Amino acid sequence: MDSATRFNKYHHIYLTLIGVIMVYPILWMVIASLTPSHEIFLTGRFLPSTIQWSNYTEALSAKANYSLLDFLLNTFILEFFVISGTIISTSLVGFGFARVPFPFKKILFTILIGSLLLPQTITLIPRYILFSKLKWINSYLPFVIPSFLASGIGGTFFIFLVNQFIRSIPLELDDSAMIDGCSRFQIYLKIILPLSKTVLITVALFSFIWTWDDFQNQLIFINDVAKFTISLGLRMTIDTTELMSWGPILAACSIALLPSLSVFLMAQKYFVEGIATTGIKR
Amino acid sequence: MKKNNSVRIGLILIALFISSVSAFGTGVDEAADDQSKPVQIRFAWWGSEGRHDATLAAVDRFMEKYPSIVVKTEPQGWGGFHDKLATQISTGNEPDVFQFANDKYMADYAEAGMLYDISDFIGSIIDTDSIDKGTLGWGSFNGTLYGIPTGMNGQTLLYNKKIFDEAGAAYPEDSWTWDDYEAAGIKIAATGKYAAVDFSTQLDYVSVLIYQMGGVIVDNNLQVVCLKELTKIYEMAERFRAEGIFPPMEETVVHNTQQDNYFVLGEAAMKFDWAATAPMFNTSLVDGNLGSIGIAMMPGSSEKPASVTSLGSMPLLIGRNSEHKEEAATLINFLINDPEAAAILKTVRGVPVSSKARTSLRSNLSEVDAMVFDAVDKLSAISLPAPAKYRVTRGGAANLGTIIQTEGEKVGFGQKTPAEAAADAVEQMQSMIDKAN
Amino acid sequence: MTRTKMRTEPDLMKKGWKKHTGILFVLPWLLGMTFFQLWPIVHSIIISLFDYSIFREKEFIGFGNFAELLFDDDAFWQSIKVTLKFVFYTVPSRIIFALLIATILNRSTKGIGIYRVIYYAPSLIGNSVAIAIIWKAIFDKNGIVNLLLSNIIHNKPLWLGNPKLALPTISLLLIWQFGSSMVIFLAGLKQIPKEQYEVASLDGAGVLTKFFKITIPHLSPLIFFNVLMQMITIFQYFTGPFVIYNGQAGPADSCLLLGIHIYRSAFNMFRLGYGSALSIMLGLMVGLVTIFIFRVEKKTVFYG
Repeated sequence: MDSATRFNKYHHIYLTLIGVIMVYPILWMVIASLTPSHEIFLTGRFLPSTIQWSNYTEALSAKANYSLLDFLLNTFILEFFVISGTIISTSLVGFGFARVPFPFKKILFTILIGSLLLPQTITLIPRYILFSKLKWINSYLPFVIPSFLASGIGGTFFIFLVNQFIRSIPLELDDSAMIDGCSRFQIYLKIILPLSKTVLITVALFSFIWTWDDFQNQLIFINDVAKFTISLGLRMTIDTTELMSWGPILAACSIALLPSLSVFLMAQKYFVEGIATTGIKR
Repeated sequence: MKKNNSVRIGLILIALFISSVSAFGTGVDEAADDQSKPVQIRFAWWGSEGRHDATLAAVDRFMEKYPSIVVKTEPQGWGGFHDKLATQISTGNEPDVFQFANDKYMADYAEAGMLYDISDFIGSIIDTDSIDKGTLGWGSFNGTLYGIPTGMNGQTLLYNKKIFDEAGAAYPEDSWTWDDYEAAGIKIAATGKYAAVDFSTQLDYVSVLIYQMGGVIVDNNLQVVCLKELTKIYEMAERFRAEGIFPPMEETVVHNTQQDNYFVLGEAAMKFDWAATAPMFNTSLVDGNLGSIGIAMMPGSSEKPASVTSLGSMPLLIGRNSEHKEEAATLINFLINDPEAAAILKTVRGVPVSSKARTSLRSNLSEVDAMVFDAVDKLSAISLPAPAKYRVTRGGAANLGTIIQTEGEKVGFGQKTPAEAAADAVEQMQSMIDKAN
Repeated sequence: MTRTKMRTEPDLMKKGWKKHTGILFVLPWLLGMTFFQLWPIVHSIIISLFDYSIFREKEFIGFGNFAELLFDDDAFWQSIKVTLKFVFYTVPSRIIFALLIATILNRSTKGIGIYRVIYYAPSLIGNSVAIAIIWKAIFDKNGIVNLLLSNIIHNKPLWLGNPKLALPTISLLLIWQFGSSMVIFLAGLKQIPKEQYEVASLDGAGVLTKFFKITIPHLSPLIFFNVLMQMITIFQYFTGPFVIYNGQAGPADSCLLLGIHIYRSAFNMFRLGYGSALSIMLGLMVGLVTIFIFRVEKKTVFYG
């Protein structure tokens, strides 16, 4: 134990140093977002001369009909439906794999695991053509419908997660319910689902974050500025044919990161445990 | 009993699902099927905040005058505008009225049958009497008129008066030769600032320079014929970088957009750009206390008649798939001809093409706007009027631009000589055009 | 041994097709998988054999697209070079960092919660447009990184403008996000029986020996899993360079990742057939590397 304590002192220093470096980009972003634009680069100072709240008001103001708030709202609407669809479908499918016998189960499970290895880029163009023919382009349907079919961002991973989790629920509960005359679906609904709160919260959280950051799909499927998500709206701030004021741009970045960071800080336990269980031997 | 609950829940889920699906509509508008409702048309354009604000105000005025027409505005940035437009046209979904980059895309789109012949409305709804024929010609391709240009515009030399003052150099003159440009550049470089933004990697400027040299990028037989000119341009740029006139390529590559470049950041004294951008740059420079703008003709313009450096730009077109073409034409006519529109729009798209609009504005112009008017007048005097010769690109302008940019960057990084880079660029452009046709 | 089957299986006691209604539970996934994953793969192969452009009629050209990308497309080979370099910079670095930090954190008996949060947070927000913009600002010539380094280096490197530095700088953006791997390794480390270390210590083993003879073998399944998943993801990386360079591919195409070349071909040049052919090449390459990693796994991974 002696060497362990010695470790801790020096290692605390290293870890803190690295930790500061890790966090610094975010820290810098927040400080710079409150700095007058012309001071952000060039000057050798760490703190702004004045706190420029106007960067935030400028970032939030409407430019040509739309503002960041519209994009945030759009993204929350998208998230609501995607997360709902994801939770419903992945819990159903996860339960199916965990508890329900059906033909070809082994093969299908192998396909499920195998699909984790599928590079999504191959499906990009065909999905674009498919959605184009269905006239779903420029709507949120390319995101929502797949999420209801457990095929949204991270869908396969979530099925797997739910499956693992449900397997850890004692079968006695199922047995007694079955004896009482419940159907499988009722077992799912009344017994398993309530007990699965933690894993479903984890699914919801990851789904939230990954959809929030899903830039490429949003870029291709959403064309109308009115429907832009925060990622697309943010990109527009550095893409307009107007002088870039870094102050408001960084303020916009801070605003865009706020939901993800808040969600993470409030629910870190779920994130960490969720990721960790993927490592547990399957 | 229990079975019923399951079924009920299942039905609720299905209902939720269906309602969520229908909440999402597609890009197609559902409005205006009803005869009693006003007709709704979509109007898309690209630009900066100044242009957006002015256009929105003009559209509001239009809607006041024509209450039976509702305009859904779609202001956007330049990036991705035409990609999106092409997609929309191919799925039958384009806006009813849209702004268009005729210098870059007219040939492609017209030959692919993607545009609508607007001549039906000329004389009836759209009045073109006060538009100079040469300018109007810029809205057509191969004899068919597709759109009405909104502004007269062209490439000019913008300069920062403050940097010139501090260097003790004389302001650029319309009569400048390239030697004059280089001499002034060296003088400014000596003070520690850069003299100009590197123009060798941007299609807009490269194409104009090629025309100035008497060449063209792609000829009528779809052959890339600009090897000589492109080599000269890359060589010139290499020399300017060595002389400190241009910044090193490492710096240019991260500051090479219209909104983020050394000119607008006050680090470089000169930049080529459209005359109509001068007010925007001026505001940015003045706000940051970095200087103020002057406009001159591009160097070398007085030596030979510049091939084409002025054009009727950013025409407004009617969507081929539009279901309300008459209303679309009405909007176009208003924006181009109506003096109230002119008073609101001023020079956000260049100098108004309608002589009536120009006259009504002349007396109330700001200093910068007056500079834009003067510049365009001068450009018109020295440029050739025939758009058919002005074929910037074919087979996808953006992509020719990417090739020119990447090869130009390689020269800047010392990876290739100007001759090698130009040869490679020509080969790649030819290859790309061949594949696209 | 936990049971996986129920004591009574009412389903199996039903007659005929009712026995198999269980499959309804996975029906959503079956549909989704078919329409959005399986069919697209098949369709992708089909499209790749066509000249499929938005401007013209489709035209069957067999292997024409593949011939083009192999023999007539410098950008393709550049993108292969860039992507391989990128994966090679990023994946090992991430894994190594994650391993090291996880090992260190594992030794501490208390107070690692906050470190875990700090190291893991970048993984969650790192893939966003916002962070790409921040990266562009931080590594600007006059940005904070050069400012902080100005005491050590006297000229200001152009991290994102220099063709030799640009790709590593973007790689750094992904390495910064090592937290997710770290968390997995931490969990795995906790599963290693402490006795093994104690016995080894008694035998006189030093830190490094213990690390390589105990820690690594026990973690090898997780390392394998991480290497595999990260390789697949990073091969397809897109967001960083696209946002930082406004749709371009870095100075002199030094950041032309295959994902960006595919996007450009399909959505800027509207050559959907060619883009599909490129995607298939990407898939093949990922497949090859996957097989390679599995081979290595057979020889090196220790399932205790």
